[in-house]
Amino acid sequence: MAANAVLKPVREAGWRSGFGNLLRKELGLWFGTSRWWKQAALWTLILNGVVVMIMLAMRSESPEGMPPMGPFMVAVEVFFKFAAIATAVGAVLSIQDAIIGERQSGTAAWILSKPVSRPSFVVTKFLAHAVGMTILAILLQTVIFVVQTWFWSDGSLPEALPLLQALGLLVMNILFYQSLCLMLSTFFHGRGAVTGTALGLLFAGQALPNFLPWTLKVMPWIISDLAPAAILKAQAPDWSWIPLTITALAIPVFLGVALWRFQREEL
Amino acid sequence: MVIETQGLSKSFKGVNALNGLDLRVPEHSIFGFLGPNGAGKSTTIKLLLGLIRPTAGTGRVFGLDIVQENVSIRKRVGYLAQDPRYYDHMTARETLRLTARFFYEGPAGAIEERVNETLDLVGLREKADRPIKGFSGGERQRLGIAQAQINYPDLLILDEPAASLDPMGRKDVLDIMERLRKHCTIFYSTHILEDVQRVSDTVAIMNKGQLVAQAPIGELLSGSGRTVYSITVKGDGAEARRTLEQQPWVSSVEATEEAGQTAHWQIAVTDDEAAEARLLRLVLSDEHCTVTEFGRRRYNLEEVFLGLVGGEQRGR
Repeated sequence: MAANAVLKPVREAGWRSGFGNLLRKELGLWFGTSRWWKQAALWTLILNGVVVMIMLAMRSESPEGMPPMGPFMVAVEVFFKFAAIATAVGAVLSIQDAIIGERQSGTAAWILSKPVSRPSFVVTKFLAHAVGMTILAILLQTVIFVVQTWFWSDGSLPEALPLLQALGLLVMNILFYQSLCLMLSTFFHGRGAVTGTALGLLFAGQALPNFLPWTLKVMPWIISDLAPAAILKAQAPDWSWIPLTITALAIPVFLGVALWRFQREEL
Repeated sequence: MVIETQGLSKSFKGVNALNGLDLRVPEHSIFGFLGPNGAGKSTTIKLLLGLIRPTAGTGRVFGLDIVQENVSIRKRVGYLAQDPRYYDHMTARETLRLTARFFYEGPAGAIEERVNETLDLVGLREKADRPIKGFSGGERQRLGIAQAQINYPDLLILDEPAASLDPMGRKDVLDIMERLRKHCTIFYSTHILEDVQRVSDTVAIMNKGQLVAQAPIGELLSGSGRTVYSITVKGDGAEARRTLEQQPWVSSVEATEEAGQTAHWQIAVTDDEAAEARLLRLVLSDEHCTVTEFGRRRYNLEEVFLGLVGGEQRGR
């Protein structure tokens, strides 16, 4: 009973009720278990593995060695183009179950029977997945990529500011798909509908602009081109600010809708 | 009152699960919330906790509105669901640690001490570090009670706490409830009438989403609205019975005969005072029979329950 004298009631109130504890729990699922190194290894294999394979293929085709800027440009193009799509797929797959799974298993009802606000429940899931994916699938992989680019291109390194711009674009891309999935999870009760809609939207970017070019101006699909372009200082279309602004605005809008809908969820 | 509802209603896709519930739960009571499956018990509990929203009516817990102030309500409530679900990858200790941190902040050691104290209360200290995945139904239920009272709640809400347990498990749960009764109000739903009769002091009976009775258990068992006396007589009681039937305060006499000239009479009366003063005297004054047993009829809860909801249930 002595412990009870030391313990104080939590001070969080209103929409922040339960926020700190839930965020600790959600981050613990990423970094407090074996998940972090499994994810790190998986993303290294997927993103940097592709670059290694292409570099090895280029080297075998040109036995005298590669021109100094050739491999650098190729590596940047491959890595950032591929990362934009692969990390978006990863973001969708990792978060699609976050709310639906807890609703179906009954743990959401258990957690929300404690002094926890519904916004805390939704926002902590978003933040933990955003942090987990950003650190393990984007930041860590970019560090490894920079090291291997230096190796393949005999000392060429991306400049800091363009690299940060490219990273910012990749992070914004995954936040878009994560917030979209969270919003869909509050409307649909099946994982298939959430995953199918989000991935359908992602892969539509590979074909739809061929028939409806204007869609490129309102969807985040151009990020996979803009990210490598930022590092290679290539010219971006002068309208590229439009899809970027829409993507940036869509994230809080999706989250807002998710919060509004989840507030009305019957558990 | 700890809980007060007025006209609380809930419908799901046009089907009424709860219809105009007026409930009053006094402080420091063990309040048994009875009803058959589908009576609206779990719906009521979820409404009180803010897990679902009412279609109509209002509810207050500790004077706080169940729609607008449910987070504040949950700070003072412990809840055990009918089919409690936790994160299976966590151990009992981790589950209680997570739960405790929703209520308390302070040094990790103090949180741990609180967790250990709770584990001891429900007898789970030995299994505290095993994943919940491998827990039996009884162990899960004990963990459920532990997590429900880790915050020393002013109100403990238990939804069918003993439903899935064997007799030993049920006894354990009822013992824990009796231990906790001095610290808080306990509001629990059940359809196990024996348990209610053992531990409850106030009872509400639900049927088809409606409240059909609410009273202290003693009042409910003494006869729902009418008083009945039970008399066993030996010998020829025909004359005495006729005399009773002629009394204006006797509404009916039901008799069952036994071998050896013994009969049991159930005498329903409309005037308690007249019955107390005269009933036994009238029978004793008849020289052809002797009274071997006499008393005011006490119902058991099953009879009261079946009287209120049983007919409709059987008729389904």
